[in-house]
Amino acid sequence: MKCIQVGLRSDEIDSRAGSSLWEDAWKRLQKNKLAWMSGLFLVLLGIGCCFGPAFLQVVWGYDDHTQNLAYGPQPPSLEHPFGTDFYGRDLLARVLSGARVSLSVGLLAAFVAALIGTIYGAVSGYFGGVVDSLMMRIVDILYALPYMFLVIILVTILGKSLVLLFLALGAVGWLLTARVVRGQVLSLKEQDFVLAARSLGTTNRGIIFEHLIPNTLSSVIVTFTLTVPSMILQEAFLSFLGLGVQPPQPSLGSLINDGANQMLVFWWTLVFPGGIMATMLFALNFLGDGIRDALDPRMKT
Amino acid sequence: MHKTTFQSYVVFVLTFITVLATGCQQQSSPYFGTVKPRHGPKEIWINNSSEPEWLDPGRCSDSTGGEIIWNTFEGLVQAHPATLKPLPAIATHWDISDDGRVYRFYLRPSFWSDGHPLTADDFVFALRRLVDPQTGSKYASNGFIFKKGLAISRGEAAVNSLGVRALDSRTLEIELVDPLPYFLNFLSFYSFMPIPQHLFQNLQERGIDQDLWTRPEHVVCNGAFQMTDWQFRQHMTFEKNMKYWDADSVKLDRVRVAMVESSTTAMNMYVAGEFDWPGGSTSLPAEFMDHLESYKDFHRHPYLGVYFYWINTTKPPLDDPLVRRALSLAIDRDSLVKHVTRGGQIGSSDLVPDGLAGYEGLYLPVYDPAEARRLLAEAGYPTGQDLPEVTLSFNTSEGHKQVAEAIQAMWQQELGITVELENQEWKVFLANAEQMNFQISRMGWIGDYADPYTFLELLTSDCGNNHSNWSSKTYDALLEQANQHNDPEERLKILRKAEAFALAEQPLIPLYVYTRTQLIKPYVQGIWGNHQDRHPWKYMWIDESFEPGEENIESVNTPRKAIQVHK
Repeated sequence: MKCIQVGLRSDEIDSRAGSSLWEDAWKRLQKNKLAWMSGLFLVLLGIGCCFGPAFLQVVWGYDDHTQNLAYGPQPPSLEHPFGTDFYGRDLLARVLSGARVSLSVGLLAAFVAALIGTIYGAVSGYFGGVVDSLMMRIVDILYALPYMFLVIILVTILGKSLVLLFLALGAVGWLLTARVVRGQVLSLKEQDFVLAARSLGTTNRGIIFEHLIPNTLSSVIVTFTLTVPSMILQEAFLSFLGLGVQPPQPSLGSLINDGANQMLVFWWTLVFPGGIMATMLFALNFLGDGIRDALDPRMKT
Repeated sequence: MHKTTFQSYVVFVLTFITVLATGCQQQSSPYFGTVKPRHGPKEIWINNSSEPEWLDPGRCSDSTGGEIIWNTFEGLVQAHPATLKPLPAIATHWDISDDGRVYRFYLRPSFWSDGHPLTADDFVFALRRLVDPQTGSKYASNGFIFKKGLAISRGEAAVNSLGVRALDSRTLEIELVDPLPYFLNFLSFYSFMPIPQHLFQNLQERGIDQDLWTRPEHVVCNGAFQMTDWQFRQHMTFEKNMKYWDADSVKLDRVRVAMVESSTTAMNMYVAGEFDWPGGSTSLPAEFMDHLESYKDFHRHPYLGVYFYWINTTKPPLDDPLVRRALSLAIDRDSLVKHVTRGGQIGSSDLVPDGLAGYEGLYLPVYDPAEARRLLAEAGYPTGQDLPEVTLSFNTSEGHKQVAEAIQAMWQQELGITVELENQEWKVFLANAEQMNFQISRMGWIGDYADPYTFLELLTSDCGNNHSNWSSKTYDALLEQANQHNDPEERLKILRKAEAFALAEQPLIPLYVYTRTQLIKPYVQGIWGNHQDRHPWKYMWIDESFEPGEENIESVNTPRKAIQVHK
């Protein structure tokens, strides 16, 4: 190694000193403008969702649930940039608070899905044989069940609580991650570093959690970023059906449902929640796409 | 690749805006939606909002079932489609005894739809079945007006001792407990329809469950229409009953009745021509009221119905009358009808609408948040947070949800009470109400006849539709005393006393008096607005000569074409 370094300039040394997969990916992501802007938008939206409702309350005195019936549905104005809804509630506050619910449901459910899926897939792939067949047949069976029915049944049994909704969505959303991780582990476990670890006496658990799973993380992250928007859509769908969040708590799904009923007369009640939802989903998908491209070594240019 | 996704995003946004812009376009037509029927001239497409609980006259107690029964069965008298005055139907004429307690009806020769002759015995069978405790009808209380009706329902008298007798096959004698001034009006109600006794025997012989007699494959009826098809939660099809005694005046051959619960969907289907009339029991979405006002096919008329919340008085914390009164007083009813329901309803804390048949309303306070907070504190909950969470149930419909959401916020804002909302499908909702499986439950009550008693009866101990579990001997005695009075003025005074007594305990929370708003295609004739929202299909017809732009459109309040009523 030393001899190679001789005669090279310091900046070249840095580049040769081996940049990790993550550093490379980060650089590639920065070059992808669309993904980068999507990420920025999501961060801004996240900040808006966390602090926006409280900010509106302090500055303008609006919150997302106090009704003022006489202040009926009003079109957007300076005072209410998104207008007000049927009960005279500020729509901006409701959209932010609804996006908060949707984002947190999406992130948490996707996290639960990734967690279950990764462990399940790694175990199944690592042990192989009968264990693998058995575990994968269970996945096949769950795949065959109508996904939305399963969630609806879970929600009906568990009750209409928000936390349970996260869990119900996550608990049936891990199948894809499990398959992806299993596929990766199947090829990884044949590699020499696993053999090395095993000869050093590492336990099965140690091999799975310390050697295999870290190596599958890049595909887990990609699956994660693409699961988030689908989870948000699922939550919106459940809320649209009236099984998701319960009034007066808004979510983007229930706001769009209300808006869709009134769009002919009060257009803003559909346009703003719908617009935010669409933009959010696009941003999440662009970002997911970008991360996937960035993490794929073959895309190196 | 990124370029394409970005382009698709732009395309999506543009499409979104275009769709929205077309949606927002102001329509220049004076009518809301299509003005040409999408079917033949002898057919009509209507909506009946939900799957009816019962189509059996002896058991039905909800308006979705009533709508069907009224058009497939015919009683002794029928209600005039505009004025609701009693007209001869199966009975051609009748005698009334001097004390007003005994009626003798003379029946015309008529037939069931299977050709079997209809006799006075079919009425006796139907009315006995109504009060028979084995039937378990929620509306058995309608039969308490007949002599021995109450006793039979309680199991204290034999079923055949009921004060309804067939003197011969075409003469029916009815003996009443009290000389009710509204009896003939009430008699056109769906609970009093005849029932084909021979069909029950037939089903029994064939070993078929008799409860299935209203299914289209079995049903035998005597009204203007007959059910030929029933697709669960989809639609029902009715064909003209050729054996109906007045078949000559029935103009339609076929009626298709859909079951769309969502008022917005029903309205959109009306716009697209899928419905000619979104039906009697479908309300229009509140958001659209101001918008619809300007269209010529929009109609509004008074409606003898009260919208209220039942309270289950057996479960704490709502077993305390102070809490119930606090809940009632915290509701700003004027604001509710002005901004939420928007259909010209009248906010009211009274159970009986003011002015009904000369009745003077109580005019209880419609909104008093300070008093509400005081009552709640007196009940031991100085701040609403101490009160356990209560659940408010309603049947699936945007309108009910809007009212519930507004009231949820009022209780939260005025009293600090947390309320959970729960929506249920109509049949499930009714079953839960019956089994007292709720805390607060939405209900609307449409007067069965123009008399305060139709509302006050709801709170009597023996009424199957009393879902509050509240009962009072004093109240029952007051109502009984009122009905025995011969002086109408005095009778109303006692009824008023009874209403005040009951509402001081607040077993239910009245919210507003209904109005009916509806859309009727301009080519549909023969629908009149009346305060019970009864719309017999037999008078309806499609005006083929209608051309848009023709300005002499028939209003529901001022019929253009005279009604031909056969006597």
